[in-house]
Amino acid sequence: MSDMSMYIPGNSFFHKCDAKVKMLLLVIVSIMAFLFHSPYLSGFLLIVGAVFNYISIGNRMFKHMLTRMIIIMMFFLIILHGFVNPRGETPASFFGQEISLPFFGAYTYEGFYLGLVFWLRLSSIIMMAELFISTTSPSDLIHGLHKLGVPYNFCFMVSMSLQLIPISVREAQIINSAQRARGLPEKSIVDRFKGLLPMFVPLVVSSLERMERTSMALECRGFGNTNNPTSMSDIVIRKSDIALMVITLLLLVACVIIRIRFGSFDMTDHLTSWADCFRLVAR
Amino acid sequence: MNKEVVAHIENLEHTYSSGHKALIDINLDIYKQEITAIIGQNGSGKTTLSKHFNGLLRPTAGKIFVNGKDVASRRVSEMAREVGYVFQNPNYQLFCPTVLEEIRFGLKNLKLSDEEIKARSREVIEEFDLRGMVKKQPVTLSSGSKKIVALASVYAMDPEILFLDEPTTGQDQYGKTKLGLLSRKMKQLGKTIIIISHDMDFVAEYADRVIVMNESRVILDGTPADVFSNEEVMKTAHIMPPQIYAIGNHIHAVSSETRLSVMELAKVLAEGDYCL
Ligand SMILES: Nc1ncnc2c1ncn2[C@@H]1O[C@H](COP(=O)(O)OP(=O)(O)OP(=O)(O)O)[C@@H](O)[C@H]1O
Ligand SMILES: [Mg+2]
Repeated sequence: MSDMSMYIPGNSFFHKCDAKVKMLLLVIVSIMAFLFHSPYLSGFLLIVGAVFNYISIGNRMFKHMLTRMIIIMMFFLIILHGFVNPRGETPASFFGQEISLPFFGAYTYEGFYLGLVFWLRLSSIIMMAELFISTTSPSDLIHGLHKLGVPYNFCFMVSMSLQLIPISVREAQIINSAQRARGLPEKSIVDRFKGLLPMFVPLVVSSLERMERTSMALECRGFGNTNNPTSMSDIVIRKSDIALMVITLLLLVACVIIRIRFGSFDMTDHLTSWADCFRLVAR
Repeated sequence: MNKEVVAHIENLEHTYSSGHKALIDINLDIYKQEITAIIGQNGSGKTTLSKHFNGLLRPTAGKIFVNGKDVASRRVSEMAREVGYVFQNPNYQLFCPTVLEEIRFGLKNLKLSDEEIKARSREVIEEFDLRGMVKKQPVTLSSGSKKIVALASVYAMDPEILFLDEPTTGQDQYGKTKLGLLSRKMKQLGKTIIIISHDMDFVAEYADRVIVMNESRVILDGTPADVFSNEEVMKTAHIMPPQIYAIGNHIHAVSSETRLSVMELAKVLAEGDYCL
């Protein structure tokens, strides 16, 4: 159940990295991913993100929910866009054949290109988010947010809600077994859907009750007395963190300059073959 | 005495996906029309063991038979007819808008006819003395009443074996007595009852047989008198026997009397042969 919070404890460079630095990294990657309309930079970021993840959490990255999401998105975005993207004009050739769907028409180069760019943009951000989530413990996250000026009460609320997810999942399992023990049918998928209602009520009731209990307990222990409570641990920003920050900032500046001088490298209007999709500049 | 076996466990083991071995080498027979209590420290595996009887958990190794049939091949909802399970926390179990519907929920799952459902729920309401609250929302009841309603809703399905996971926690003396008497009544009606409890007084009073668990194993199995007078096991399992047994055990040190009930103790004291 611990994998529900998605934090994977460890001792790598990124685990020891300050949450603020990682947050900045995520923001910069998000900007860079959308800077160019070409697969190259976001593809590069995706690979870098994957390498960072591998360094931090090793093989567990392959089982990570977000990694799976990236792979599922690949199929959906690249295949769907190919058929349905309204900018699609040139039918793609698969060994001399066109593939087309009734109603949607042929699979096009433009659709493929746009799907690919879109997928790479999203997945490079998701990859970086995965790095962030799996190497930042919830308490570091809250701490980092607070340091960045987010009100403490709000940070605390976020962390409490994050903890609620695994608890609710566990509770849902218990409730479901309690009801199966009372003969709730479980043969078909329809049965399972019907089982959701009896599950929903106790789950909501217990969440509300817990909320009330927690808030009372918090108040009894002096929560809210000050908006700036002291904290037990303080992550210090290391030299290597600063180096990482500087490098990514420089990279960002360089990319922004390139973008302003040379444009977004959009190839959508110049596609006549598969090779065109991977050209940096139009012929 | 010839006791009829309703459930039989052979070399049962359970390892959770976390790698924790919650049950090791369990061998047990559960007898018909007995109140069996399972006691032991927190985390000793009581709940894990009991969830095997209706298939909520599946053995990692070993076998479990209920009424001679292997549980492994059967669905939980199918087992619900034979094994009733009242969960530790009634909040997880109650979800209907009224107590009456709560009681009928299980009966509907058994696909009984409308008349049967009506008759059966009336019977249960009578037996559990719930007339005053049939129209109430279960969520709004006191925690004691919630437990009784949860029990009633499981009992309504007429299972042969009934598991009560910590029924006495959070109950006042009145609720406890009510539960104890209800258990006795159900036993007289032919049910087999298994109670998981930390309440030693309750166990001493109502159980016919006590199973002691410690660190995933069954370490003792016998009558309450046998179990509570076994000071060594009580110490290993960190169990405080009820006071009356503690007194009995102490007197045992100075006289030759063995086990004691309240009545026996009174008799010994009255006869005055306790001071050697
Ligand atoms: N779903 C689970 N996953 C992993 N470990 C579990 C799970 N459920 C229980 N355990 C572990 O198995 C052990 C036995 O748990 P169990 O609930 O059977 O104990 P118990 O005797 O019922 O305790 P209590 O008196 O607190 O109810 C405990 O150490 C517990 O941490
Ligand atoms: Mg338990």
